[in-house]
Amino acid sequence: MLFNSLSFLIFFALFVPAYYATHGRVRLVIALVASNLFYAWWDWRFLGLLWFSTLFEYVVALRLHAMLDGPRRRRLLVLSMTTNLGLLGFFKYFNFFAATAHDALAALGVHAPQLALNVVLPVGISFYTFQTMSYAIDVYRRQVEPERDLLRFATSVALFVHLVAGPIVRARHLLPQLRDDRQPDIETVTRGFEQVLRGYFKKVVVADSLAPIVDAYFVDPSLHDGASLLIAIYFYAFQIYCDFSGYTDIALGCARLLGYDLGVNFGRPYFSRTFSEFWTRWHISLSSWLRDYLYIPLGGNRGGAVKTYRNLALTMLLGGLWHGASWTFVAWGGLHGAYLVVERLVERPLARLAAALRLPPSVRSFLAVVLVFHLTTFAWIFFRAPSFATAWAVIAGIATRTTLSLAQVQSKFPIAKGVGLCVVLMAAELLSFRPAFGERFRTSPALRYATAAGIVWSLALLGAFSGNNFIYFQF
Amino acid sequence: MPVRFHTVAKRLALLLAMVLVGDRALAWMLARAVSRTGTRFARAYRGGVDADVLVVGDSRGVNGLYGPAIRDATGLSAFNLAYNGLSTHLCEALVLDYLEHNRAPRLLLVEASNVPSPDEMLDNLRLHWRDSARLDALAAALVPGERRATRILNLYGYDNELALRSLFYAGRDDQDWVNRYRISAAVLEAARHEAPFRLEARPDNLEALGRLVRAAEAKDIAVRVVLTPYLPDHLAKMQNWPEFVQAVEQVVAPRKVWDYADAIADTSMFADRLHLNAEGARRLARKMAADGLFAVAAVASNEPPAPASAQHSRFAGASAPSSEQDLRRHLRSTPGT
Repeated sequence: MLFNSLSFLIFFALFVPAYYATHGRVRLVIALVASNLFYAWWDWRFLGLLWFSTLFEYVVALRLHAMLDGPRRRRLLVLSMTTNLGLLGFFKYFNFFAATAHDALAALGVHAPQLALNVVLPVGISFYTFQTMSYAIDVYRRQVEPERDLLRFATSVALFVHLVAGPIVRARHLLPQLRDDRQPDIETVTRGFEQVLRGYFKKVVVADSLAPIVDAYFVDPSLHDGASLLIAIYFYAFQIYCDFSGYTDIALGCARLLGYDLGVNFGRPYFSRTFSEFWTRWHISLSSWLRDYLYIPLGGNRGGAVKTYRNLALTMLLGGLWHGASWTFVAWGGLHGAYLVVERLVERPLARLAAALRLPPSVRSFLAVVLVFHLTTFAWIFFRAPSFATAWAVIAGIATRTTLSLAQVQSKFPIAKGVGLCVVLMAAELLSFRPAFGERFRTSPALRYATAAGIVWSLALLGAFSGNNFIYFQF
Repeated sequence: MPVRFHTVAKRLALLLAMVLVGDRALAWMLARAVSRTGTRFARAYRGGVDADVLVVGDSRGVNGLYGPAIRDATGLSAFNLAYNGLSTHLCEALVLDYLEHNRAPRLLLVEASNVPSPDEMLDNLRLHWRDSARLDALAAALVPGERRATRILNLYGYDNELALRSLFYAGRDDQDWVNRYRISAAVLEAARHEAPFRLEARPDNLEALGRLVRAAEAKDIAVRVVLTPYLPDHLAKMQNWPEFVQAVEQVVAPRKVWDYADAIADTSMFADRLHLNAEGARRLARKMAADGLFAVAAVASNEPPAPASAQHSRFAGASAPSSEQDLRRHLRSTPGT
């Protein structure tokens, strides 16, 4: 079930009264059944996989907690990791690795038969697998107590607001909230509602308006001039941001309406001044997961500069691969790894240069934001392109066919609309940096009503109701 | 303090009231703004257009039968009612609406290569559903959900490219809208390697084309069914062009189909595979004029003004046909008809 579908709106409108009319375990049962229905709406056959993952981690966590530290306990954790990664590997990466091995052998002159599985990628598997893995690791590290109540644990894994595309919620964050009946106050409900509306604006108005333009240019980039391709990649930067952060806003807003706080997943990432900052603002639940369960266990920045660079690069490469079974995603992760390494290498020389040039801090910040945004946008080419050939065609088109003329640019009116929307979005984000603005907004009912009504009007007037999937559903 | 149901209900009701009142007010303002713009549809529904030649079709009609090019080649005033993606079915509704609001043209040019198009552009015409009983009926039949949505939130009627275009053309005419660039080397190269394909006419569009031609002629308007040029390499990949033309000819018979698909070989006259550019449109207009395609209207437009009732039925060198049969007979006797 998609958040931007009529079926979800009906589902949620029926679920909320049932949820608040009940208490205790009955409420948990309703939440769990509804979440399973939400998932089964897409494909009921993969409910078995979700339940297997849930039951397996439930039992493993109880055993990990009960066992004394030692090799057996470690082996159990390894079994848990292997099982989780095995499931992910089978459904998501089997064909990718098989094709890569086939190509590598062919390059060596060995002609092996190509293996391929005709399996559908279960929606949300990357998210709930990482969630249950972090739970097992936290229990192993004795950072959280295992949940003994299967109903509560299953609800925490399957809760529909975060099930299919995150945020990746840690058990230690969500499980305590499931232990009592949530009774949010009116401010929490209002903020939840406003966040849901913001999410729909980002997804339906911005992301889905930009999507057809981007798609058209990425089908065969060699047919388009450089200006059109530049528009396509800038629009993709905003499309993916609004698509994913819009989804997240709807998810977090719905959770708020139910009384849950699932944290923050985006924090105005395109205003980052460094790539380190970018990764504390973009998909925060994933980047913090990678930091806690991959980067730090690899040694983090504790082993000197070279090891830090290696760990950064490895973490980002694997982070790229997490997104999809394709070398283009690995390249995207690799680029970000390279950005992080180079950033550390040039940090001091750049600071000295800025001081020598006597650049005011505001100018430095502005230039840094512009640079980080453009390099991030460049990396998105590999994320969006279905193949390296397409990515190179986009880059080559921009490098060799860009002129100052916009004569060859097609769809000028949708493009003008897209530019306007991006400007409005960035202006709103810029405003939200000012605490006074946030305070004024919160204390002015008229402003809040006007904003909510304005979003509904913009949905009607500017929305693209094509029923597009969320980009992160494929991960 | 935990939230109470009636507090939430009260706030939602207030928001809903605000949304609905604002929606009506904003939609009313937009309706007024759009109706005053210079887009072809706003002008057609506002009335008062007085053109010798009316052009209808999809984007190939927009670019291939460019009004200023026709005027330069023939001295006739032309009004282009074509629009990107319009199916013949929608063209029929728009022309009939045009004829209700404006003086009938002497000649109707129908660019008929849109017979394969579905009626998807009906959505883009949402802002004119309220202007037209025909479009509204089509919406009720083809997109009832969309139609309901425009009734609930009137602003949804303006959620399309045409609304944006309308605002762009506030205070100016859109009849100069045409592709002004030349096809790029990359698109030319791609056309050379394009896979062969077929054009399949939709039966409902073919029927609409037949009805449109008959309806126009019943109002004493001469009709020319035209197929404008394709990029030669693209045309070469169409496996069934002769059959396609034949399908169009069958529904407009005994009238001729003016097939200019291969009339322009110079690739610099094209904007892309499907569309001429302004230069190409001028060359085509001159060629059509030389072929006598505009003969009927040209002679008629040079005649002194006549009473409105007779004005629409004057044709070159002949008395006004009094019935559709007469008209057909007359048209058959006119060169190139």
